[in-house]
Amino acid sequence: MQLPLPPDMNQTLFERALRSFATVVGSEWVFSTVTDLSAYYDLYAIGTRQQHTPSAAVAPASVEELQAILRLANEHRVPLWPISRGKNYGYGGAAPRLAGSVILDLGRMRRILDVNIERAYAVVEPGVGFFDIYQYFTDNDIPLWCPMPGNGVGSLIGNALEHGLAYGPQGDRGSNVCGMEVVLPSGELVRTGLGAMPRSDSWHVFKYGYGPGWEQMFMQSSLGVVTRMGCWMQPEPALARELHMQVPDEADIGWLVESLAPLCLSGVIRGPVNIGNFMRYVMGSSQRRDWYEGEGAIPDTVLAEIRHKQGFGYWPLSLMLYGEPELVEASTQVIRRALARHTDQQLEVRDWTRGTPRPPYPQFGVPISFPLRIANWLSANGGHLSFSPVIPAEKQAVLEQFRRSKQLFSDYGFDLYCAFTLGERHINVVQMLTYDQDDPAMIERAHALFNELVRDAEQRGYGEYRTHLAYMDAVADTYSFNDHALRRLNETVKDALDPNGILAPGKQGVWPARYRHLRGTS
Amino acid sequence: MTARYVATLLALSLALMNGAKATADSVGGAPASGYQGRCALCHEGHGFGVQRMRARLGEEFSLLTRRSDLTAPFIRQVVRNGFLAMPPMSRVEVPERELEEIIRYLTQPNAGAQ
Repeated sequence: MQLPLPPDMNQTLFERALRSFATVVGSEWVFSTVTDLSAYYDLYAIGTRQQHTPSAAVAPASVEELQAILRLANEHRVPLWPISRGKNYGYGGAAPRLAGSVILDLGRMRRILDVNIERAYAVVEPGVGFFDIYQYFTDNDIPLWCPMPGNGVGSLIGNALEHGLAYGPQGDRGSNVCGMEVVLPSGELVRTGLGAMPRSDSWHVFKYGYGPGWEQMFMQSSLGVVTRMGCWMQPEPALARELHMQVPDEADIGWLVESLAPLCLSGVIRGPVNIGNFMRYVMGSSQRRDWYEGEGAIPDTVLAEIRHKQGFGYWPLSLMLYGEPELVEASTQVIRRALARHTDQQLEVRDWTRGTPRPPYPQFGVPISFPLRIANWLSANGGHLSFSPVIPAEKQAVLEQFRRSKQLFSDYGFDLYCAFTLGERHINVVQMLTYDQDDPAMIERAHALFNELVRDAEQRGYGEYRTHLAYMDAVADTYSFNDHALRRLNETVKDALDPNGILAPGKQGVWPARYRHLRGTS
Repeated sequence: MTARYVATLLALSLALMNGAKATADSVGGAPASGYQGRCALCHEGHGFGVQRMRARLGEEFSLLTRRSDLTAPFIRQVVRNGFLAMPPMSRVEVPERELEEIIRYLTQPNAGAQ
């Protein structure tokens, strides 16, 4: 396989740039062979992996080395694509938007800089993963739980910067960031909020500081490289209670949202509530051929048989409550009352109490990796894409979104994995599209379906909160108020902070002047 | 020494202990390295790797630490190039020094008993 060069560079200039990087990090931390770079491909590439292939990778071990690399990248005009652990699965993994970018791998910066138990936060570097922090807390008897996403292979910083979702009261991870250290494209080091004071021990307990706040500016962004972050944790609860119910029918998602949204808004339930259809569990524990070998989406009659055999309702509901037993019990009663208006079924209760072994699930602050299996639903060389629009937490909106997506998935011959995550006022929809990477016709259909889903949501005013590399421009196009005023603002700031366009060109559809002509290309 | 004086001293020493504890609560450090830090998430407990190998090879081959058929070249090949569902691991994610350590750990007899 031929590795690409960065756009506008020849081999001589490129090798000169890599040699200069090696003077900073040592030649053993500059990678440019196909074998070394294969770890940075999109594991679930939709189409050919060459569309988003890096030219090389460089791995600094410290802020100082990172600053030096950024300065050299400006000097040699080399585009960099920063990653923390590079596990942004379903959205591109470690791969860069612009083929030929050099991966800036921050995985060597893997220190847990501080854990404050009383104030329930941890300060970490980009390479620290969810498993690392879990193990660290466990080994050191630290009574904190890290909010765990459904898949725990990623990093705390990468996940929060991409607005990732996790379980528990601090599960909206982007909202539970407090205090960042960032290296700007120029190489300058800044600290946000109260961290701008040379001696502040309040940096990670108060978000705003003084004057404009910049933390959002570095999320889903190409305006800086985050080198440390304060992440709010959950104090270990006295009691964690899981409430279960197998909710039988598709249309029940309407009354579920109608019943639970007010409880999320009023604080009876704290943190995101994830409601996935039964296919999430079936796809995570078996392969399609175990159930059905026909063409097209699995028919409803077969899906009903699968549910019957597995003992699932259409929506296997799991709600979590955390805290003092009296409060958990009171909240349980409120939830029971709200659901009893729509169903005679009783909620089943599973309790964990402090001092006993935790069930090995993310709801209890324990990382898991097995949901990765979903990618293998269709084949050993499978992949998945996530379609992730945001809708209001309202009955009609969720029913309409579900109905339209189900129809479109069926029209294009794909099985529907569908999850709705309730926040206080909104729902993050994640519909996972699984495909066989070895089947070009299926890949074409997946592309067509994804574009149709984006168009369909746009027509109803719904935008995606996050998307795969291949659709970053298409989704950015839908944020078009006042003839793309937001894009002009984003790119004005981009050009001011990154005049050479060295940092993550094209991320989230924001292109620096130097590469702007590449907008819309693959 | 009056009872009240003793009680005050006790309260004061407890307050000092609490103060000392508050300082000790602020800690930091490095995550685990080697097999525990780099492999265990997928290859222990309910991990993805355990489940995949159980399905493909059976229970007795599902845990790396219980296997005696793993060789150094094979482990290196799988880590660096990937194998089936396991993606390749970069030299950052599994540094060379730690890969050597992992190979030694998995190829010694009774690795799981360590």
